[in-house]
Amino acid sequence: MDLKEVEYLLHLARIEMNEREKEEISNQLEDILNFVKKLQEIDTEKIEPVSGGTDLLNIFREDKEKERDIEMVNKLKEMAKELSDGYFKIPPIF
Amino acid sequence: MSIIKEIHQKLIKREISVEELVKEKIKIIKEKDEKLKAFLTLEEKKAIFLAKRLDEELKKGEKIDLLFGIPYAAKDNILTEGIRTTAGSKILENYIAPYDATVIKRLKEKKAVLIGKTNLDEFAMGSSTENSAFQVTKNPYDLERVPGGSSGGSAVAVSTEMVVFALGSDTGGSIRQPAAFCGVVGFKPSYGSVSRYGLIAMASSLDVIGPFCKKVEDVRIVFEAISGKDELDATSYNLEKKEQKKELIIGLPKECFLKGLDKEVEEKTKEFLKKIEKENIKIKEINLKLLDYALACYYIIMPAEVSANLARYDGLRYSPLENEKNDLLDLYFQTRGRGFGKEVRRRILLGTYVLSRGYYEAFYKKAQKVRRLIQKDYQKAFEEVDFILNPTTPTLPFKIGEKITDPLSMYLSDVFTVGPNIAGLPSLSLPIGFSKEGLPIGLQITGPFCSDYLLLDFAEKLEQFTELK
Repeated sequence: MDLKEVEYLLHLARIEMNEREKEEISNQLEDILNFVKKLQEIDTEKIEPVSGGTDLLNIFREDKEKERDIEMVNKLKEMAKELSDGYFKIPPIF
Repeated sequence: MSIIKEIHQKLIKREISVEELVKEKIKIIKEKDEKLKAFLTLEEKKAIFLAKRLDEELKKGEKIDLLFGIPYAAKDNILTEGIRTTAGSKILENYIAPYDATVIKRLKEKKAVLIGKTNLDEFAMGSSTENSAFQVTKNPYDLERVPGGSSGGSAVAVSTEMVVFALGSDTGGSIRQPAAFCGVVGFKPSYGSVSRYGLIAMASSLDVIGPFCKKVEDVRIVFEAISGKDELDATSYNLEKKEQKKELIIGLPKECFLKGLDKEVEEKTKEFLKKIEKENIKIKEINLKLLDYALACYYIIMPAEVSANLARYDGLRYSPLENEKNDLLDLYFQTRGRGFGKEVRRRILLGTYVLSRGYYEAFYKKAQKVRRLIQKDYQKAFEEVDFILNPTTPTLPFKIGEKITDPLSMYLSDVFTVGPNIAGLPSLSLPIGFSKEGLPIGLQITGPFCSDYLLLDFAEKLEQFTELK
């Protein structure tokens, strides 16, 4: 895996890394990908992929409003670095 | 005999108070944990306060539950209201959980006493507990060796009697492997039998919470308390109890006794199998051809889910660390670059890769298909046998630092444990004895999906033949 590819992945994953770390991780990712490639040996023609950990489907609950837990809302707000009118304040997107 | 039941009798007979019990455990922690480093957070005051209140209740003479007053610990990726919950990561260093995980809530209802939170590999990613951002936990049988991971702290806390039981989480072996390395019983239940609500997600289709105990009977008591349907986890359900057959057939997968298996582990396992063969238990060799591919399948599916689950750590929520960025994108990059350790970053990048355009079909979708085949492989095996036995780990506990710089060799320590996660099966590690140097060896027992209670019954039967009585 070349450094360009590592940089592309880092960009997608929103992670910053220095040059030495990039070098190290590119070799490690290469090793791991070579290892997992052995799945290509298996014939999976006409096999349904598994998604999720169970085959349970359609778990419904009654469609009714839940009581608002003000205490919980306040606790979550306490974790924000900055609040404005009760909303999380974040740096501008653009 | 069950340790929980023994304590329960003493409490009822007033031979010991909950306060004395809790203080005794805290004393052990203070004596031993400076060296072992199993705990990240100790809740001494809260635990003693609760203990005193429970003693008041005890005086009233009301009927009490088996878990009443029993001191326990929880892995630090399980949310505990009002208590710091870090997942072993710098990115959650200041995070105080705003609510209890369902398992914690259920144990609170039974009035078990939470003593503290245990160390783990960051976000439960690792097999040695060396990936914690805070400390390296040591193996109590040899301080130069790892306790296994990722639930290393919980395994050590139970092994050294700092607590009576502890909760861990298992995504690819994170309960069973440290249980084997620390000489305790560790149980990964069937996927979905225990609610994941309040477990900090790693790989949601694989994650399961389960107990560490010294005795199988205690595992059953804790499992009964924490399992069952939870409205807050749509994949959860209630288990039915079934009747055990009189004559059991055990399968030994050939694939587990081949290359790479430590000589002493192999000998001890075979010696143990000879002992149980006399007890109305038939043993036959089976083939699990795809077992060899389980680890590769795991290292695609797990990182894919990791990369999605860990996208939420954005530097805005969960009491973020200080940073000096005023631009949103830079804030993301800096928070995640500084907050995540090496292994976590590695898995996020790997997951990003296998899910990205051009690789999705070849890697992720392929792995999902292989996952189906591995499940079928197990189903076929369970048409012939009732349980599958193999060593929990291919090696004895390894040295601290031995594998940390070579991720792939670290991953290989999960080679026998990932299969049951891929297929969602219940699986338990039973300590069967020790190597010549006195290091613990574990035997893994795996059963069909939802056979949890039968598996525990069988494990209890096997427990009599172990060297730990």
